[in-house]
Formats: sequence, structure tokens, C-alpha cells
Amino acid sequence: MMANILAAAAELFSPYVLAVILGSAVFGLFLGAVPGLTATMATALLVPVTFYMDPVPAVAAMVTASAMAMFAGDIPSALLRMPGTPASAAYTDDAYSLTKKGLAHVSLGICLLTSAIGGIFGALVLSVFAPPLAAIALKFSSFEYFWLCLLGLTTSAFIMQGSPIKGIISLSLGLLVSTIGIDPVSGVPRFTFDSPALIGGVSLVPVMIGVFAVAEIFRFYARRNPQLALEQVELKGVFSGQIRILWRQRRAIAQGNVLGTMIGIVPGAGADIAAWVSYSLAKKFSKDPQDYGRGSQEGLAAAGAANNAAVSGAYVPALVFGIPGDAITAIVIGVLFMKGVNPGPTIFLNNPVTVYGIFMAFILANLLMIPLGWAAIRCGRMILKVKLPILMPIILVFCMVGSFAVENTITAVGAALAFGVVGYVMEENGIPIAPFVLGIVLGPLVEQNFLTSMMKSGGSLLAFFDRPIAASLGAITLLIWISPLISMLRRRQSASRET
Amino acid sequence: MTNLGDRRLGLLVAVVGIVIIYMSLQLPEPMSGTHIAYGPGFFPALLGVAAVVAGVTLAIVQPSAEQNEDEDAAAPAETPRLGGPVLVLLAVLSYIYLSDLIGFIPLATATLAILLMFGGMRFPKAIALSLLASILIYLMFSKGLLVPLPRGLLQPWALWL
Repeated sequence: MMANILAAAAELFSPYVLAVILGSAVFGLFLGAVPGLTATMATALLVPVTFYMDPVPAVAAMVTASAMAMFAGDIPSALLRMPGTPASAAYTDDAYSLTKKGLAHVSLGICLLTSAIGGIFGALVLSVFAPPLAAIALKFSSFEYFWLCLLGLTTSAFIMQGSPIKGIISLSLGLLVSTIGIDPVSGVPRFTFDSPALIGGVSLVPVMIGVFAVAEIFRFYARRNPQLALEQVELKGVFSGQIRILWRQRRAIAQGNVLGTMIGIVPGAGADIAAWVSYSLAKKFSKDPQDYGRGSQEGLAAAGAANNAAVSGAYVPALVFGIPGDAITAIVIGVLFMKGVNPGPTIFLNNPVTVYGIFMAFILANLLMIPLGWAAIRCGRMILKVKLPILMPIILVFCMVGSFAVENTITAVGAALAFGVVGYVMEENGIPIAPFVLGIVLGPLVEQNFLTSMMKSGGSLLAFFDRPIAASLGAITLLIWISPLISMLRRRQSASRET
Repeated sequence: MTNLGDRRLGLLVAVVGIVIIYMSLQLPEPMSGTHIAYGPGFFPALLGVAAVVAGVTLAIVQPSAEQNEDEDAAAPAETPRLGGPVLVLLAVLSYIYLSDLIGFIPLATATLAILLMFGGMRFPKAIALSLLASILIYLMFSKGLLVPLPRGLLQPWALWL
């Protein structure tokens, strides 16, 4: 084993691989920081480049770019209230509220350091516990998957401020959008209106660009006084006082690390859900839940650590069983196959150097994140110095080219525009965006696992509670569903007692 | 203008839900003779029902219970301007329909210049900045990421691009 580790280290620390890692780090930071360009897209765009590389530099490039993009998504999230990647959406309001209070350096410092800590924690878990942990996730049946997806969706609909009804509306609309295209079970096209562009379903990147970036551009131009939006802040002292803050938030960070890694390990559940679940759980158990959405450092720490921990954790099922944990690992698995490295239990026997190379690349990427992320934050100041009437048209062009770039089709630009309008109208009416997006992402998984479970049980809903893990996940989900009813009844009781 | 109010919003969502249920019921039945007991319309129909229930709840129950707080909190301080959003809409639509014909660099330059001038920038500065930004974005995506951005009018000079 030691010989393999040394061989992997020798390959990883060669000048060529280090240059690849540095290049992909800068690339990932840039793409993550531009609203509308995601960590997934950064990884996907690297595929043609990595085609010419050996397995270790190829995977190292993707690992580095995705981890960097995941952190860099927090920069526009904090400065412009536009999450750079969907995984930053959970705590965008908190990060932006801190910026409005002149504390952008504090919020970005928390995001940077918790991201690095989460990523390293996830990588250590990946290296040490990969086989036994993946064995647990492998035992999951469609019942557990169904409840896990529903738990993610439920938390996203219910943690938003304001009315849970609007959260449910947003969620149902998102799930409905996910049903557009060919039904995976029966192969029948649904809601395609005979358009060939809709047969494959709605592509995710234009939707993200639409609801998160184009809608924000609409909102900017709809304001009477557009100058108000950008808060001028000095971004100095990113690291000052952070040790104290991190120590104060140690519980939230630990929770984010553990939960993020665990959710990352579960196939299909990636960084987005990890951030949401960690954020909402931290809020439920917080002493100051009223601060959430208004600049809570605890929420930032819990979710910021969770999404990067999940990026690392997602590689556990990807490497050990060949099951992608999320879209990013799905791409990486494809690249490994192209290189003749087959992910699965045998990868540890046949390609141990590659596996240890991947483990070490993770740790190296997350350590590199601290100095490079700091530099990116300092460059983020330049975004602040540019006036929004100048920045917004350029972002609009980026959105159009970015949505076009994914599939090289102009339909994607149309989709980004349509979802921009939808996102703008939803936000204007107080309907939260996040459950909508999560519904689109998880919709196919929820539907497939729901239908598979229904077929297995012959239509009996009780079977959803037969297995212990499924029953626990189901109970938690249902509790969240009925919690608004309970609080409403309590309010009525106390009101009737007062009169 | 874009804010509908909870009652109308709820009704709109309910109507969307009813349309979805109707469309789902039009989808083919589950294939007989297979073990698939649920057709392609089953899940969307369930979602339609959820949308109807949520919409009706929002329209009927929610306003009476929470109207007072809502009105205080969400009192619109300003009515949104429509000129800017319409301009953005036209910009994207023109990109969708004209980019192949005109090409990325000329069209992006024109779009950027118009939006920059709308934001208060003077003509010469806006044109210069737009041209620079368009060329940089073109180089980054077309040369760096190999995205086939349309050349359009600049096709005769394709060798130079």
C-alpha cells in the first residue's frame, strides 16, 4: 500500500500535474464566480481538455476545478445575491445580508475556510472509510431513495422564510417541469407539445442561468433606482478574526462536515441537497433561528462546509461502486471509463495508484483553495468596483453564451430566457426559487423511485415504512410536513386562551 | 404589474394544476400485460393535485389568516419599471433569432452598447467597451472552450477569427 501511495504522490507532485492542477483551479474559480456558470459546467468543459491526459492529472483537474467552483459560487452569492452555483443558494440571503452590513469579508472568509475544512474532511472520510461507508449506501432500496429525495425537497420547501404554501407551490411547479420529456418508465413523451427540443427534457444549466441570473438582470432593470443594489465594501481582512468565528461555530462546521459527507455518499444526493439539509437542520437546532436568512454566520458555516464535504463524499460510491453521487462525479466516471480505468470494487486492485492519486488530489485541491480563494475574493473586489449598469449587460451576454455552450444549441438560450421570466415573476410574488430548482433536479429520481416502490409494494403505502432506514427518513419527512399545522394549532390554542 | 396578490396567484396556480391533471389524463394508459401498473400520467397528475390544493389554500385560507402581516411587510415601495426588462427581453430574443445571421461579435457589441447607454453611458465609451467585451468573450468561449459561436457577417474573415 505504501508503495502505491508513494507512486501516486510522485505522479501528483510532478511539475506537469501541479501545473494542470493550478490551471484548473484558476479555471474553476473563474467559472464558479461567474453567475450562471456552475461547478458542473466547469467539470463538463474540462472533459475535452482532459482527453489528452493520463488518468491522475485528468481526475485531479476535475476534482480541483469542481471544488474551487463550489467555493467560488459563494463570491457572487455574497456580493450580488446571485449564487454562482446552485449549492450556494441555501445561504445566499445570509451571505448577502452580511455584505449589506459591510461584513462581506467576514462572510466570504467563513465560506472560504469552511469550504476548505469541509472538503478536506470529506476527502479524509473518502480515503479512510470508502469501502464500509459505500456498503451502507448500497443497501438502500428505492424506498430509502424516495424518502431521501423527498426529505431534501421537503426541507427546501419548508425552510424558506414566509409561507410554506408558496414553498409547496414552487416545489410542485419544479417537479412538473422535471416531467417534461420522455417518461423514463414507459418511454412516452410528456408535455413536449410535439417540439423535438423538449423530448430530452429541460436541460438543467439553462434553467439555472435563467432563474438565478437572467431573473436577477430583469429585477435589476425593473428597479426605479438601480444604483441601490450594490453595496460598496472594502474586502480587506478576509482572515482576520476567523479563528475566533470558526471556534464559535465549531458545532455548525462539524455538523456540516459530517452531514455533507454522508449526503454526498448517498448516490443522487450531491452538494446542493447537502447545503440545504445542513442549513435547515442547523436552523432547527439553533439558539438564534431568527437570524437565518438575515446574515447568520452559523448557517453560513453549516452549509458552506456541507457542500464541499459533499463534493468529496460523492466520490465514495463513484469509485467503489461506479454509481455517481451527483452530476460532477457522473462526468468523472465517464472520463475514467474513457481512460480504461473502470470504477468499481476492482479499481482498488487494478488501479491503486489512480485511486490514491485521486484521494491526494482532493486534499491538495482543498489546501490550495485557501490562498487561491483569497486571491479570488480580492479580485471579487473588482466586481464590486464595477458599476452594475456596466456589469449587468456583460453578465447577460455571459448568460446567453453560457447556456448556449452546454449543448451548442440556441434552444438553450430560449430556455434560459423563459426560465428567467418565470423566476422573475415567481420572486415578485414571494414564491421561493430554490424548491423549484431542486424539484427540477430531483424530479426524475423521485418519480422513478416512487413508481418502483409502488410497483414493488403493489400500491400499498405502508410498505414505504417497512424498512428501518426508510421508516426513519419517512417519519422525519412527514414530521416536517405537519409541523406548520402543529404550530398553527398551537397559535390558535394560545389565541383562544388569551381571549 | 407583475405582482398578482395571493388570491389571484393561488387561483392561477390552481388553474395550472387543473390543466396539468387534464393533460396527464390524456397520456396513454399503462401497458396491459406488463407489470407496470402506473402510466406516464400518474406522477404528473399527483403533482397537479398538489398544485390545485396548494393554490386553493393560498387563495382562500392564507389571505384571511396572514393578510395583515403580509400587507405590512410586502407593501410595495415602488412600482417596477417595465422599459428595462422589455429591453433585456428584446436583447435575448434578437440573439436567439439573429445570432446566426449577424454573428456573435457584431450582435453582442450592439446589444451591450444599447444596454450600456440605457444605463447612462455615453455613446463612444459604450461602443468601445462593448466591442472590447464582445471580442474578449468571443476569444474565451470560441478559442478557449471551443464553443462554436456564430460568425455571421464576419464569416468572410473566418480565418482571422
